[in-house]
Amino acid sequence: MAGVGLLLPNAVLARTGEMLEGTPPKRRFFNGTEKRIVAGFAECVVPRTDTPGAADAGVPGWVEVLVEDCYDFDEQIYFREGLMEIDQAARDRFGKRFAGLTYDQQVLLLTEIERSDIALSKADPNAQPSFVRAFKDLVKFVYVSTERGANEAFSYVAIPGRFDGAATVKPDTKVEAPTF
Amino acid sequence: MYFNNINEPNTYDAIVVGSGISGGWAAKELCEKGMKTLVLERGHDFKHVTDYKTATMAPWEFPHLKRATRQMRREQSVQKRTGYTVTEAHGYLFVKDTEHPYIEHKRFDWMRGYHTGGRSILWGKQSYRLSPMDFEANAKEGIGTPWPINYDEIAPWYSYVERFAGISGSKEGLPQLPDGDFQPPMDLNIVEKDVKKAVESKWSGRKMIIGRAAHLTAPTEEQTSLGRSQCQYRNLCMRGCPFGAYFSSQAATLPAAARTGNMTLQTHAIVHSIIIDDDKGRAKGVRVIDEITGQTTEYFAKVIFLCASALPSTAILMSSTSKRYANGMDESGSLGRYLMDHHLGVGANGVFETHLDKTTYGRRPNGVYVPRYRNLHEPATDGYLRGYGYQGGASRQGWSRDIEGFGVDFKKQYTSFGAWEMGLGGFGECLPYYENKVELSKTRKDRWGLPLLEFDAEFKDNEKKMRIDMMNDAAEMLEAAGAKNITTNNSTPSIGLGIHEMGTARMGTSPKNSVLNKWNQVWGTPNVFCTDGAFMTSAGCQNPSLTYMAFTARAADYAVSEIKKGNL
Repeated sequence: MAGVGLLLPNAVLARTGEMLEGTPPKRRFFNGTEKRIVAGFAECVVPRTDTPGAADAGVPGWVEVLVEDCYDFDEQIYFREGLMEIDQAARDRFGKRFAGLTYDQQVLLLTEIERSDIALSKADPNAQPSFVRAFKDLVKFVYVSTERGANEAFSYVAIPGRFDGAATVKPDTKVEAPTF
Repeated sequence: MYFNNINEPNTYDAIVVGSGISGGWAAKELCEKGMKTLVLERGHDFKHVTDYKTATMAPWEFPHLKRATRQMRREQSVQKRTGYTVTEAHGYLFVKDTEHPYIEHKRFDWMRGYHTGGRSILWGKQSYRLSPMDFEANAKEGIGTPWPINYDEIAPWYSYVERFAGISGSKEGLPQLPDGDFQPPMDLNIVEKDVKKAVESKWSGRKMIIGRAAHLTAPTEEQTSLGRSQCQYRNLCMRGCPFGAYFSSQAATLPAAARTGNMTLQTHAIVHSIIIDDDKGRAKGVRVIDEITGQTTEYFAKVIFLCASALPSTAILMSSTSKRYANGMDESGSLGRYLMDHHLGVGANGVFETHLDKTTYGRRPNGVYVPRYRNLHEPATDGYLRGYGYQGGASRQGWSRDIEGFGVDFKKQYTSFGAWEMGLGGFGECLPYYENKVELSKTRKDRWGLPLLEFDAEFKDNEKKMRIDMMNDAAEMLEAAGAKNITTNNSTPSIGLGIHEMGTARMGTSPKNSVLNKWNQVWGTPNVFCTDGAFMTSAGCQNPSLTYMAFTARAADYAVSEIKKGNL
């Protein structure tokens, strides 16, 4: 469920053994509203299934670290505005803020925004880039770079030792997590 | 007869300026031939394996998942121009542009690594010989100045360096890309094999081969004795290889030099200029500025090898003045001129929906190579002179591909394989233009008091015309192989982005047309050799590092034999 991971006290998380391994340092860059939108959005991109979800892998924390330390200042403003626009879109569509929606409502909302952004960019190549698509790309990158994401949902091989240019894809063959 | 007393302080048989791809070779060759050699590296030390701090780190072990911070981008505002230089994994091996500024009259992208081993830690390992037609082109076309050496003279030295360095590749019998002394080639993957077949059957003059790469696939006893082992297909090379599997100064030439007992490696040692004795017509030694203290020290030797990288070596020659050499160690007017690079950022991509039951295992640090097929016969018939090759490769699309949607369905696709994708990127030859130049600033200096380098160079008409074919040919080759969704690109690169700076102290047939003679000796001062990219009289389209190695080994052999004969 969206945002649940961040609302549970650490003690609970410690007992379940989730979240604490490979978690990034806690930051105070985003305010509470922003953190909830980030966590909810990330979970919509990578929900927990039989493999870890975004919260399980520590994605929201990493997103905050990267936006705080790596984004240029104008990129940070653009990011925060994008989060607020998602909240506004949630109010317009469902009458509630993003963190107050059900998971299915959140997925539906983001899917609709993305679809309309894609149509817009096809019609006008000079249209403003889609925030939802850009944030989704960030979540994709972060998740596949986390220890749980790379090892459980993907396959992380530290030392392949050989090259096979025609390796058979078996039902349990996982996509390789990048290392470069 | 000229000699130094090696019992004097700061006095050696030989001085090598720079410890990178050519400097390491000079050190090895000179030391192995019995010369007490001082290797002067301007930057910090970077020890094989023990200093490769990031070599085995997983992405999540980096504070920012390898992403560059704002501070890194601020400090490396030029180094970041390639798009892949400034990451937490290996960005620290490129210079801080704030500490090493230079002046660009036209944009010039200068990627540098100032540490032991230099860019031999960072290079792409693609290793190709120049061919007879490359050495003959200037003379035949009346461009630049003729090479004073032909392919047959350098061929044995290519073999010599290939055997020591360890180059994997396949023999193809192509006159425009001579075969070398190879270890077993790496494999093409299943889609690359299909594309190769399609291209070669449609165009009889085109070939697609596995890249020739300086990675060990079958280490020799000599390589094993240096502690090197074969490639593990991690493709994290730029971090330094704990297996010594690719050629670098650290893995190969410096340990070979060190085990002779004849090498002294001094780091933080910036060479300012050569000390010239006009009466004797010889160099006496070099002036060195300590990078940390700023103190100047003089070192002396019978012979000096400039291997500081093309532009710093030229800067040293420009700064070395005497009564005879009023404007630097050149009387031809070509010092600083005819700056070249390879031009890239042009090619095509396509998608293949075949072999969806197959993928690759292992991260091959190498790709396909399409050797030059344009203008192989005189006269040039394609609307421009010279030609280009391609590097590229195919891979199974994965996590990063564009997928619409969110939620469980999206995650399923995100964690599944996409189709295959293949790209071909051209490497084009650049002609030697007199106007493409580097000079020393008359007013601005860096914090060690060295004049800043001023660049004024650009790719011109011949390169631009060539790029149209480079783009279209890539697309048509992918199309012939059945690729879908083909996209093309043709950017506008600046000189330097290829990271193959060549020229500015070219070799030639006479002191009136060049800085160096056929042995890489500075005309008029035969105990100074320059064997890094500065000597290149033309660029070819082949990656140049193997050529620097071969010329360095040959020049070192010549230098020592001249010393033994009493000529130096």
